[in-house]
Amino acid sequence: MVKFTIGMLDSKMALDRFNCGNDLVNRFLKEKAYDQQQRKLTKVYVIHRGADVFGFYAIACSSLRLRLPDMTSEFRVPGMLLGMIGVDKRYQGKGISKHLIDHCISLSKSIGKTIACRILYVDALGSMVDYYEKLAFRYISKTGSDRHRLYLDLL
Amino acid sequence: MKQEQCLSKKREKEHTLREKEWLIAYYTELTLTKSYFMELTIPQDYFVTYEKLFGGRIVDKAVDHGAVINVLESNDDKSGSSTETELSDDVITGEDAVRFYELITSPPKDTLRERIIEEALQRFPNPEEPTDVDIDL
Repeated sequence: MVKFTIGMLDSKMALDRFNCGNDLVNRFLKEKAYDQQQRKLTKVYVIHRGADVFGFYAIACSSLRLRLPDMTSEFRVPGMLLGMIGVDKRYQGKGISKHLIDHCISLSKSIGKTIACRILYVDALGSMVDYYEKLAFRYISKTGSDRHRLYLDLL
Repeated sequence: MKQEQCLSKKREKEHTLREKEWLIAYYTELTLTKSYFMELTIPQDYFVTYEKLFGGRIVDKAVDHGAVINVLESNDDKSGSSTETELSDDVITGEDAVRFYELITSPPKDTLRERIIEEALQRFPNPEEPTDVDIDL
């Protein structure tokens, strides 16, 4: 067993070696994550040992809007958006993403004590739908050519 | 799994530097990234133009790179700009909306959900604080 820590991204963390196998996700972490966190556009939690980062997720307040056939106004469901998640290729398959999602769920529940936060939702690639469904996320709808929106009810 | 990895690597090689540059330009020029994870909402006339320019490949490439592409129906605004009210990707409509509404207003009992949340709370009782986790590597 090796001890890691999950906490918020800070400026001293070394991100250069991080490679989850997805250029966009890598670029987000290396080039944008800290800046966006500073501007309060997202919060980024990382799993790390010292300065080395092995995985991360980004989370932000959001809401889903429903337009129902028999309603003139929209119905909003407040929640948290799990915007991006990545685990370094060297450590994939070790349960790190489950730790990150557990942390994300607990954080969302904690926020829900003081601010209305009914759901945690994610826009997942098609290949990840089964994974999220095994974690009790329910399918909502297709949102892109290979994007699928799923949510976890935090009630 | 291995085959998937090989295909993925092959696809990666197929992305020439020029195509990647175009992708970056594509993201930057439109500046319609709705949020930080590269979700693009593209007016239809832009979409058609780019499709012609890239022979229909650009969207596939963008999606391969993890982008979400939403195409707005053509409207009177030809400038390419898009206001928040015009964005429709976060609005759930039709049967999906009805089903989701029913799940939210009358949530069914779900023991898996309860167990997953309970485990998460036990594992991270104070998620705002840095927390140690043991991982078997």
